[in-house]
Amino acid sequence: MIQIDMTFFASILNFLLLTALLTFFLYRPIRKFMADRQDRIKRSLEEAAQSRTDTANMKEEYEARLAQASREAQDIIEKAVVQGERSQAEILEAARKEAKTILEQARAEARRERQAAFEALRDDIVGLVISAATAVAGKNTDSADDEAMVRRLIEEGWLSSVGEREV
Amino acid sequence: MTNASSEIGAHVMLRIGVFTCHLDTIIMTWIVMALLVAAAVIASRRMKDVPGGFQNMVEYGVEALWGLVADNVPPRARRCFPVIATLFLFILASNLIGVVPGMKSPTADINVTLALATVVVGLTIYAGASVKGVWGYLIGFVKPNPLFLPLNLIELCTRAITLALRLFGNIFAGDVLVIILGKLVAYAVPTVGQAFHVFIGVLQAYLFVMLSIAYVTVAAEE
Repeated sequence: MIQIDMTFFASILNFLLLTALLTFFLYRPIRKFMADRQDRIKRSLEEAAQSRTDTANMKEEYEARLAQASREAQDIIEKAVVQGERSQAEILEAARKEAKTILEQARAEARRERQAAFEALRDDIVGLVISAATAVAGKNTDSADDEAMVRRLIEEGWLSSVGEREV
Repeated sequence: MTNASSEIGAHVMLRIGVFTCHLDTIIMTWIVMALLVAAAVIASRRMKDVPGGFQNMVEYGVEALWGLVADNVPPRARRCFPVIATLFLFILASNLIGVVPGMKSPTADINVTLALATVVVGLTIYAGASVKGVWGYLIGFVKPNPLFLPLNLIELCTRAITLALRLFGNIFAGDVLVIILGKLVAYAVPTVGQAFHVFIGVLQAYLFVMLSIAYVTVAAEE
């Protein structure tokens, strides 16, 4: 039998109560949880994309730095080579100059020593000549005049031939 | 209190003064409500980011209902969703509980289905008035001209009545069918009847909700 009574109003109240309970216990928590999870996933994806972009940027930056460093190293090497070549030339030039100086000094020294030896030889010869002349003449010729004469003779004649031969 | 349950479709009546109500329907409604609230509490407790079986099913259901409401009533989806989702869950649970031996579908009572239809009419009026404004919504009843006012009012009432009678008729008939088949044949056939009752229960819940959404959508159209 169909009969409309207070069950109708009670059913409306029950339904509204059930709607409130399910909203509180089911729809709101579930939808909030799903929205939060979606946000978390979205955030994670964005972070992953950002990380990927950052990594790509860092890679580009490192590659640029590496290329720059490589260029700088190449420049340094080239500069070092040029500098080395310049230094080598300078050292060679200095060594050449020093060798020339040493050679000139050695020659001057040799010339001085030869001059000294020659003078010493001449003194010896003068002495020998005087001694020989004394022995031949039987008298002492050991005077300053004799010595000067012998010295002049040597310088003018005998010594010049000896000097030409030796020099 | 009087018991008239020996007759098919009869109810246990509770009299409070001059008022009467169907005690069996009220109790079955409370049982359905308790089951739904318990399921809701279990579903929303300790939710995990990677959902398991039950949580997955609940999430899918809530998301599907939300999609249904949001697609059809975009301006008032947040307000309409709890009512429409509860309509579906309550009608579905009420229809299916009648399959359990000893239980009776609350929706096999015209009072319940009429109450649900009244809620739908209320929701329709709310959606229309909130989108168009109260005056704009009321003006709609005298369009295309004031002569249509009675027809439009009858149409509004008819929608509620057809919703209520369709659900009541199908579920009541299903309950009667299950009882009669159970009395006529002892084995197998009642099971087929119950399976058919389950199918009808799901179908009617879906139909009721889809028609409700359609009414609300029409009312909320600019």
